[in-house]
Amino acid sequence: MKLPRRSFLKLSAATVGAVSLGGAATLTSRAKAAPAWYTKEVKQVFQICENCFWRCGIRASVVGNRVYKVDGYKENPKSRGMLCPRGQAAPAQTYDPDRLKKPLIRIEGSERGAGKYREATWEEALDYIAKKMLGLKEQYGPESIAFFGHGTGDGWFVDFLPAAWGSPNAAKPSVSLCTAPREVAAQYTFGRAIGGHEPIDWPNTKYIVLIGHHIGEDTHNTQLQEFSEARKNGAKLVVVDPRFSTAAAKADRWLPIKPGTDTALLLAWIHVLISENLYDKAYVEKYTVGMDKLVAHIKPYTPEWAEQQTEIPAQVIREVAREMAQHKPKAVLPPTRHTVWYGNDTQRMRASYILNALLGNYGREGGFYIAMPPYLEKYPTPPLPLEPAAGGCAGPTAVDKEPEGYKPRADKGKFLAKTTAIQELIEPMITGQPYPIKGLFAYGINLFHAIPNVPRTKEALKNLELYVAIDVLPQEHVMWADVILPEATYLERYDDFVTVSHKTPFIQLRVPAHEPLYDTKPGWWIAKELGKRIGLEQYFPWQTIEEYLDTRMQSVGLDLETMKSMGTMVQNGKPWLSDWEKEGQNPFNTPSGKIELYSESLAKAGFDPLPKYEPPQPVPEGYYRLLYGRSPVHTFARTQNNPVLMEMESSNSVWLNAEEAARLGFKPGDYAYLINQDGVREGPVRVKITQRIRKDAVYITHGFGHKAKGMTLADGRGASDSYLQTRYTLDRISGGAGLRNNFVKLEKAPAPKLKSVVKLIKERRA
Amino acid sequence: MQLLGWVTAAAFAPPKAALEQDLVSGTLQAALAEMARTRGLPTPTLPQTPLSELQAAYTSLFISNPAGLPCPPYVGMALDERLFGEGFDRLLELYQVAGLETSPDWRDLPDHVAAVGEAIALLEGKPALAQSLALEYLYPWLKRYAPVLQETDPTGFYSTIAHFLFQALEVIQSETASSQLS
Repeated sequence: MKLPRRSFLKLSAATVGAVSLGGAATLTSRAKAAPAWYTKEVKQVFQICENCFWRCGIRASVVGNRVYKVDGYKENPKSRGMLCPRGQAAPAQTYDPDRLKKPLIRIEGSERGAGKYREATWEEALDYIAKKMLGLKEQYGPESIAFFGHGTGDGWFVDFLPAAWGSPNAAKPSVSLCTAPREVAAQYTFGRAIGGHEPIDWPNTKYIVLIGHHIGEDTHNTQLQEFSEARKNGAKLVVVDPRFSTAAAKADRWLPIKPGTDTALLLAWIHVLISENLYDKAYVEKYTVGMDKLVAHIKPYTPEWAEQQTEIPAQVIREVAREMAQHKPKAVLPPTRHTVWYGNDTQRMRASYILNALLGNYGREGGFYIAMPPYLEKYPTPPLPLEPAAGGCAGPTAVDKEPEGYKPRADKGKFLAKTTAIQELIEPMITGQPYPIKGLFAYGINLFHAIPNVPRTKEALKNLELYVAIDVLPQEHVMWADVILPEATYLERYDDFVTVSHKTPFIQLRVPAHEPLYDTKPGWWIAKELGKRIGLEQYFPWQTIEEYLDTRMQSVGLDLETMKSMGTMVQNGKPWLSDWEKEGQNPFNTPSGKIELYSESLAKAGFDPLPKYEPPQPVPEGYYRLLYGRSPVHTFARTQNNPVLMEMESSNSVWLNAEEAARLGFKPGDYAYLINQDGVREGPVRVKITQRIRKDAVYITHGFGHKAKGMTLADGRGASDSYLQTRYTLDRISGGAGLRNNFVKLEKAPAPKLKSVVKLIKERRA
Repeated sequence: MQLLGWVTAAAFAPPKAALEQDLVSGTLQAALAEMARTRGLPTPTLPQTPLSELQAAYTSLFISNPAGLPCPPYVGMALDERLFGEGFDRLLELYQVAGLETSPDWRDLPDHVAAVGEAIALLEGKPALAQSLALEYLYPWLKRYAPVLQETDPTGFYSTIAHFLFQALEVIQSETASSQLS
């Protein structure tokens, strides 16, 4: 009886036949200890950490198909030789048994969301997608396909591919669900981006005011290192937060502000600086416009008025303003990253930047340095039909007017900014207005843990004719896709260079540590192969990714092989105003060429040219305002299946003020359901009874509450803030989705019947 | 032992035309009958399942399942409760000494149960080595996952084969123990 060979294995003629039975017996002995990995031949490659979006340069130690260790390296301005817990734990993702392993196609006739799939070859899966895309283009136009993405590889899927394909509907959550207000405000004020590596001269600053900043909780490696340096160098710290955060615990002053009233506080500080003549007059005279209008505008915003709004005593407001002035220009209010709070967020960020300008700190030591992008040419391709519209941490990129024959973004007209707002592209999938969006690519973004109003997103997904998910793990939204393309993890792939705007601009390289496991492929390969099938071959003229990277590297006088031995290439920057002035240049790309305290552009567009205060939506009776933040050992909803990190923090908890807890009858160790204003319930989640939060708000860390049974460690642990964010308030300037106008009440809940993560992990290692 | 290996490889590889051919031609059923006769077991009857249904079942059982993957197809998961553990390393060493390596077009791990099956079959001339692979690597996986397949396999195909292979290895193990005692 013979069955045909399957040919998964092959025989090596040199060794087969030389096996002795005695040898076999020895080999299979369980008593034999395997030699430690570091006693074997260890290869080291330069990599870029992908466990958060700070993207530290790392060195991976590899034996065979296994990375055993990653470390920061000193020459890299991100890691500076150090790495956070998330970075250390990141390799565990590559060897996660729950990984997506093969391309899958949803079984015809099965309901979207039912999760019924069959394995497919890459060729079959890509052919399937291409056929659908071309059909949609024919019927509805290229703009009927939207592209969402997040992560280092997203450039292929959110910038390059849609621009080549002709769809302006490309978006990243890092814009309208995160940085949009601060970036748009920075453009209107300074004419420059803030960018992904916030340009604060931490080590030289003497006075820091953090407003709702997650430092110490978002663990941005370099930022934390430099923040520590600042404190070590004697910088004073003021933290404005309704919650006694990690940063507040280190502060000289904690101002427990009433949520949503930050603009009132900022305006009052501006008032004090101006009314008491404490601002940097020479700087304002030389570098700003609109001071006269600001002086008139700010008069009513006294500390006494602000006290009524913020519940911070007027005297404290005055004292802090005076202390800032004493330390100017080495006093700074660093912008936080997640700035989509209440819907009027661009104006709040404008108020913050105006205050910084009055302190004379932009482009000066101890304040903001002027970040420059590194020089690096693009790979030469024919001109793309569209400009990438997604934007990013570096701010707006798209154009005002579409080229002939192409439709504008589906969200155009809802807000002023040029970048796309991801949450505004969901509605057209349901209503078909202003035109139908019938297809969606989701690359590395968790649709249900990022975009507010999950029921709406699910309804939109059901309406699509094509939904493609490119990911590493079987997250809940992934298992709704028509086609699932499993991407190689960061350790297994090249990506395009990561270029970082910085005091010393730099370029980072990611080199695969080993071949992709399973039937997974790098994003660049997927984009190129798909491009070939949808008539975009001309935009992918390179044969290999090495050729692509090498060609780009030649533009800065290096080659890929040299870069592989360096990992990071650092260039010279121009961080200070004096550097620009020496060269007779002006860094402010505003219409006036100066810092615009008063924005004529905003006025012309029908918005307040100077920031005004709008009170937040009131908290309904019986509810608490839902605040959310970050865990230092997790990144968004991406890391809750990582055993190393879950061993450190396996769930979130809801912070509840101790007096409120007593009133509601909660005791330490109790669990609660969180129920929002629309009846959505999350949890059970442990109640953290604390004095560290105001009585009108509760707080949870973002990223927990997964509902994906295919992710064995993450599933069902904690509560999801995203699921509770059924409402948002659109910022009409930046397109940001203000998420802090959601409210919850607490109901007692039984403790969840879940196996402890530590037990699960120990069982795995038994 | 060789037939046991081929049956394992044929049944637990991603279901494609080759499996369909084995089913349509009756080769796989005949192989089971032959094994049953040799081991003194009742012959199982494979259900008549269309390839498309086998593909859907295979995906939900062994590749990806929104309700949680019931049967990771890697022997290391049964040996170590994780991927790339000590059992995996021992298996690789065994492959190396046996002169076996995975083909470049095998886009999966070397401890996939189908690959282990094929290794058992390829070591026809080395029965002791083949038996080690079967008893120390394949058997623990079947012991753990055959009952799970009984509960979760919507086709009955995978559960039938897994249960039969498990029974066959129980017999082999028992025979081995007896011969060592005597």
